[in-house]
Amino acid sequence: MRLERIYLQNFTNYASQDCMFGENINVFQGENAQGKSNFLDAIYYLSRACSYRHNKDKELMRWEQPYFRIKAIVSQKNEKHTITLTYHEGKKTVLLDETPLQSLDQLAGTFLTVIFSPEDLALVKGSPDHRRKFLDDELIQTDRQYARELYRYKKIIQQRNHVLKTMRQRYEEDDLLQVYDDQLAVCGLFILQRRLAILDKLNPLAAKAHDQLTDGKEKLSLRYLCNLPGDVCGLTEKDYLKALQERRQEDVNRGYSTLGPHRDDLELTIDGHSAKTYGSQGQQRTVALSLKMAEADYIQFHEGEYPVLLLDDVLSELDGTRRESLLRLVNQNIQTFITCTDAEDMRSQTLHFEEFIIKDGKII
Amino acid sequence: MQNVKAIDNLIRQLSKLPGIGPKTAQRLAYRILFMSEESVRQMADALIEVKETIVECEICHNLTDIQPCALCRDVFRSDDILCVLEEPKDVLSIERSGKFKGRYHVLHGSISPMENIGPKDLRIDQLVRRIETGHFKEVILATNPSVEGEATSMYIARLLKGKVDHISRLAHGLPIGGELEYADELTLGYALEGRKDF
Ligand SMILES: Nc1ncnc2c1ncn2[C@@H]1O[C@H](COP(=O)(O)OP(=O)(O)OP(=O)(O)O)[C@@H](O)[C@H]1O
Ligand SMILES: [Mg+2]
Ligand SMILES: [Zn+2]
Repeated sequence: MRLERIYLQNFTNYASQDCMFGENINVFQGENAQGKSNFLDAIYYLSRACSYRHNKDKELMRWEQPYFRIKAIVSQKNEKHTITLTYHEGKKTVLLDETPLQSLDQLAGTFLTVIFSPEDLALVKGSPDHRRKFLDDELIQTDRQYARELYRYKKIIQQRNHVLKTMRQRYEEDDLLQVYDDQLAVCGLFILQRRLAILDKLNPLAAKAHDQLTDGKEKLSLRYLCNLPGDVCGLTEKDYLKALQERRQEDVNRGYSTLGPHRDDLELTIDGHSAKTYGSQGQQRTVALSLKMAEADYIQFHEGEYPVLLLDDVLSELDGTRRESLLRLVNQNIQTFITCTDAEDMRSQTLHFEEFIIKDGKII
Repeated sequence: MQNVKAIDNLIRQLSKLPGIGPKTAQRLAYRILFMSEESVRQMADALIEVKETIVECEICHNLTDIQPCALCRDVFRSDDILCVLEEPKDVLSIERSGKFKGRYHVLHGSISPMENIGPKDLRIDQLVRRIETGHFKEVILATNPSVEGEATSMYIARLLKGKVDHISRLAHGLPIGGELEYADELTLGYALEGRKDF
């Protein structure tokens, strides 16, 4: 995947900005608060029609402006496409090659990005939902059926929790809970199996990336922590139902569903020790980065092409050796956008990159 | 303008309708304002008339202007087979497929505890009684293929177990998460023919 050209109108602090990019490493350099991260956000927005740091699209409109637009030429396996995303009066519209799309998810797969930003440290340090979301994101991007089943799964859990919470007194409670259990067993097992399958692929990729980033000094390993009893690999619908049955009373007491993939976690270890508990700041950051590199590799494996890599403020957090390894890693046919306040660190390497100086919402 | 109050009121009334936001309501209100008095009267009468004449059929709970409804009265339809649906509009969809000649039962919704809709809020008790007192050999549960629609069918299937020989579910030629209303006639026809035992 390549982003060849982008045109921003009223996007965050950009009034109007047209820009063309290099095939490999592109560096956005500038002082704090000039719009470097905003630019990455615009590129990210092209891939998923949502921001990586704002929940509300309206926050992306330049202050006092009634709309924003991002227009881009991207190439996918050497085929060029234009994507135009417009947000106006609370509505998002997408044109793909000048043709309007009926729904936003038709955009999926046209332009793929993987982002790494300081907040991604939560992948290692944060609560389990960050790690579940990491797995789910990859699956959603590459597997439509998963996206659908995950949506269903969340819905079933919501409905079931409502029964547990509010309908406790009603006599049909048991029959209704049984119905949701039956639905969960099918849907939950599907989610579980797909997650285990993708983890099998991600594990060696993450280990390889981590090995390269740390110059062979650390061994990273991922393990799925399933809260259903027994061996996850051989789990059947029947086992699943039985486990729900056994947990029924506790669920009723607590008023929510305590069992299933919505409560699972991913264990990350460096040389056998939990990265969350024992990792240093730099180690944790490197682990998060390795996971993102594994995600990029997985997309390459799945789609036959690397996604575009967006690295926000990564360099300043890594030591010289890790920084060098990272740049070596991305410098193999992955179009990468890196933000930094000072490109000096990069110039010291014998590395070719395009440089863009960003100042107050403009590329100068 | 003097009478803005009346216009505001009309806008408020119109925006009670699903899919009508304040802007659309305003546009409609002005449209109505500039229609001839006769057309407006006809429209108002039509509104009152549906409310006064349309009732729920006491047998199948479809909407009707005669009691019981035409479909329940039709002697050429089979009393062996019953098709259970979420909404009155779904009856029209199945009728359009032309593949079904049995009776209908309309639930008026699907079970959704999140929205405070439990089994008691639907015409499920009436369905059970109808099965117990009738002579149906097969019940087709043709709820939407959404989480709620499926849960409703599964719940009903549990209640009807042992009370009727066959309980079947529409085969999923239907788009997942979709609604019967949007399924085309051909897909619905296939779905009816390829229905599966529960
Ligand atoms: N909707 C908006 N309209 C106008 N300006 C905005 C909008 N949203 C954000 N900004 C401004 O954009 C500026 C740049 O933000 P951005 O996060 O891109 O900076 P940055 O260059 O990445 O800085 P840092 O090096 O500190 O990370 C902020 O100062 C913010 O006030
Ligand atoms: Mg920034
Ligand atoms: Zn009737």
